[in-house]
Amino acid sequence: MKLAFIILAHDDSDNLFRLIRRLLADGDLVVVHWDKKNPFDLAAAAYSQLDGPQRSRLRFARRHAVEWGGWSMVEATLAGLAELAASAETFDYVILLSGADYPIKPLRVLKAFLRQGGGREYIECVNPEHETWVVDGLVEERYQHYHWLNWRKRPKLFSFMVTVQKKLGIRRRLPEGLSPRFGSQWWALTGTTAQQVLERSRRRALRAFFKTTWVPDELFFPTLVAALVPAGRIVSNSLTFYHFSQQGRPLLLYNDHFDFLCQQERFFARKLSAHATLLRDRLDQVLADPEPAAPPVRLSKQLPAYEAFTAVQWRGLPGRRVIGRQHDAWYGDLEWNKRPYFVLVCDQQTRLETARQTLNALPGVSCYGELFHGSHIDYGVSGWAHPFYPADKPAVRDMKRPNFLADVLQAQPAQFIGFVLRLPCGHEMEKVILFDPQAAPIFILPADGYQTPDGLAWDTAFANMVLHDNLQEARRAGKRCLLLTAHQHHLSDEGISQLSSYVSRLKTGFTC
Amino acid sequence: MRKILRFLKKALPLQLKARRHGRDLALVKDCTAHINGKDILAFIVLRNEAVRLPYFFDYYRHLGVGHFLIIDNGSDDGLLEVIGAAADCSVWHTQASYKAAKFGVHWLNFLLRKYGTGHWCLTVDPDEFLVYPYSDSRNLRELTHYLEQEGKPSLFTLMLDMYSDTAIEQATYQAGQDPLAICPWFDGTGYYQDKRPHYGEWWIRGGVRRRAFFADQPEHSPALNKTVLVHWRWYYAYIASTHIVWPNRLNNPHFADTLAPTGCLLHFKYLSLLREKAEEEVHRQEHYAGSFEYQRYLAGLDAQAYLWTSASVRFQDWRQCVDLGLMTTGRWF
Repeated sequence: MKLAFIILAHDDSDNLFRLIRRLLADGDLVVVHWDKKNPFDLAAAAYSQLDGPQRSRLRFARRHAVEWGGWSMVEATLAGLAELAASAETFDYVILLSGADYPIKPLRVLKAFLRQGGGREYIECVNPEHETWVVDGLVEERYQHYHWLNWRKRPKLFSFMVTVQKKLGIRRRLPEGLSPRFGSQWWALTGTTAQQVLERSRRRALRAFFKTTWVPDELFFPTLVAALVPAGRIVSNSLTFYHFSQQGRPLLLYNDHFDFLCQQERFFARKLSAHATLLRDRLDQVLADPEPAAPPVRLSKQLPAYEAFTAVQWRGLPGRRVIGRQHDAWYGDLEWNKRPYFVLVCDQQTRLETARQTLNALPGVSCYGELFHGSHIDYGVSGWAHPFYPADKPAVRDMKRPNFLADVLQAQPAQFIGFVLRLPCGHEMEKVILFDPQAAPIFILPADGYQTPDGLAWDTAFANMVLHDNLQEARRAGKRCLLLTAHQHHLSDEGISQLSSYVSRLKTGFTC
Repeated sequence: MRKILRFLKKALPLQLKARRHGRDLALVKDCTAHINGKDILAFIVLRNEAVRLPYFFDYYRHLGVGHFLIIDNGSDDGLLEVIGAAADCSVWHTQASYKAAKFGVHWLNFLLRKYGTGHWCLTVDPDEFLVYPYSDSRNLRELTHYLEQEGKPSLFTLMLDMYSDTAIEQATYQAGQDPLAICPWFDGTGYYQDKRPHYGEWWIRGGVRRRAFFADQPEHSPALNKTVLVHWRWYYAYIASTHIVWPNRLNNPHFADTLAPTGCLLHFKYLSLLREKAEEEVHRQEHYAGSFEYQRYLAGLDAQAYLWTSASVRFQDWRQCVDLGLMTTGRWF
């Protein structure tokens, strides 16, 4: 079996020669179309880059200035076919590649695969009436309307022309009774079919029509092949692995994509970064493998790794801060926190030592003291303080309290954490804990007399009011919270056991 | 019309100042003819940092920087000998005041406009090492190609202050050494980010600086946000070091809808070299707010400050920064 490759290239001659050498290594033919816009003399460079026998199987197609999305792309391909036809060489298949492609399976495996296939055509042929092939953008408009402009150069005028023609009801039909087919630019055709396509392409009416279509390279070849070859002999698939992002840009392949490429059940990959030398080196090792694995018959793309990546990464990792993005500055890092915690909300005088001791005795529970005390950070659990927030330096904590809390929660991932918050505290935490979905507030209301630290007697009503307002707000926000009553600033034994069973229940829902 | 006027009102004074201070610079090693149209350029302002340069050059050459444009503010440590005959380095010399040039910003803007227009420009200090998504397998050319394709003209970075597990002065550095081998630790949490209205930049403070040197006045802790890699146009200008760049859209770390790649800037200040530097800067009074920052460092050095704590994280690679939420890959697969 002998193959002929047509390579469309426009820059990066080093990697192009690397690809050419790789393709020539197995005794096959290569025709290069070198973009006319690039003044570099490729034919001259071939003398220094390739040896005699290699050069004898390399040919250069007549050069065109290629523009993406335009007819010139088809012309360049046809020039390659014409060069092959003129060469008087025989070959079984013509395979179209670009200069940024590289084989990912040995050519011997490809030949075995093609032999097994029994002379079928490998070209995506999608009927736009039955299937959608173009993810987003123009479909029928590509050939129904006249396109004289390149969207890349004149995007606004291009769209305007499309709108106008739509309004005017312009709907062209394909000439010669052809039925439109879409498909990737990258195909592999048998020598006979390629010859037939070339002959057919010489008809003037056909050329005139496709010259004014948009992205004709994805329309011209599938349409002609579908007309020339019975459907049973067309495998509507590509031998080349390629992928387009949601933004419609081709996925570039880098040094770290070796494993990803090895998973692909295709023979070539598009498109490799010009700097991915290491990737090419590693692929060379695969290609040189004397006992390659069985040929991939399904020609399928394996995208789970890519899909898993984009699903997660493009909005940031769950439960992690995203640098340079914040939906509500007020919450700070608590916005990203996915770790639940509980808060004992009480007035200034309620004594909670016994309650905290009971909670700390529960396995996996840490109940700190007043993390947000005005003059220091009361970690309260002996032996642990966050090293970045020393107990005697509350200024760093006070710069952004929710961030401090998020850091404390992250530093002890195995523990179910709670702390005491005395109201009124005069800072944002009294509201944050009401609206943070991870916070479980436990309100402890005083049932009787109440004194401020400076001895002024306030009545219970006031303390109740402050706490109650918050409680009501928490409930309005849809928060489930526990309500306990303290008598003479103490929780009763019954209250403590109620509290401890509530926290244990919360903890069962807490997974880390 | 009003838009154009507003643009000129901001752009022209910045460009004029840059031009005025640009006259201070004398080109002492001219290799600018070697600058290639597609090169990534590195711009550096330095003073007596020759000891750091050998490794610095290696690091950024490996990442694909094509040319180094160095502004030497009165070094006396044999800078030119260290650089030698390297064809990818050009050096400007000046004895003028760093402070008067707005801490080097006007000098940088001058060179950026003159040589950087149309290039991707990296503006870093000799103690800053850029890490970005896939930086171990993809070079800066690939990163900038991606950013350009996605229509993103800049890369946002978070500065990570690196330190050793010994006292600062015991972390001795020798020329050519990888500073990461001496100072592999950093703070994985303890950062505070806030968007500021005027230039729309994300103001990030925290890390070891804030807790070790500014614990009593955390509000004065230096900014950690830097936009160091920019696809330069003639009217662009840095405003305050590389923390803020104008126009405002360059300060935007992400796209409107999704995330873009961001980087981390490993910053190796807390080495044995700090004392000499701090003493000189406190004496020269050429740094921001009367070298207030350096006074703090000197006090820390005198107190034999240990920066390492049990919550410190040992640096591994860029993936770790992504896992810690200090860097994003965006949709760059």
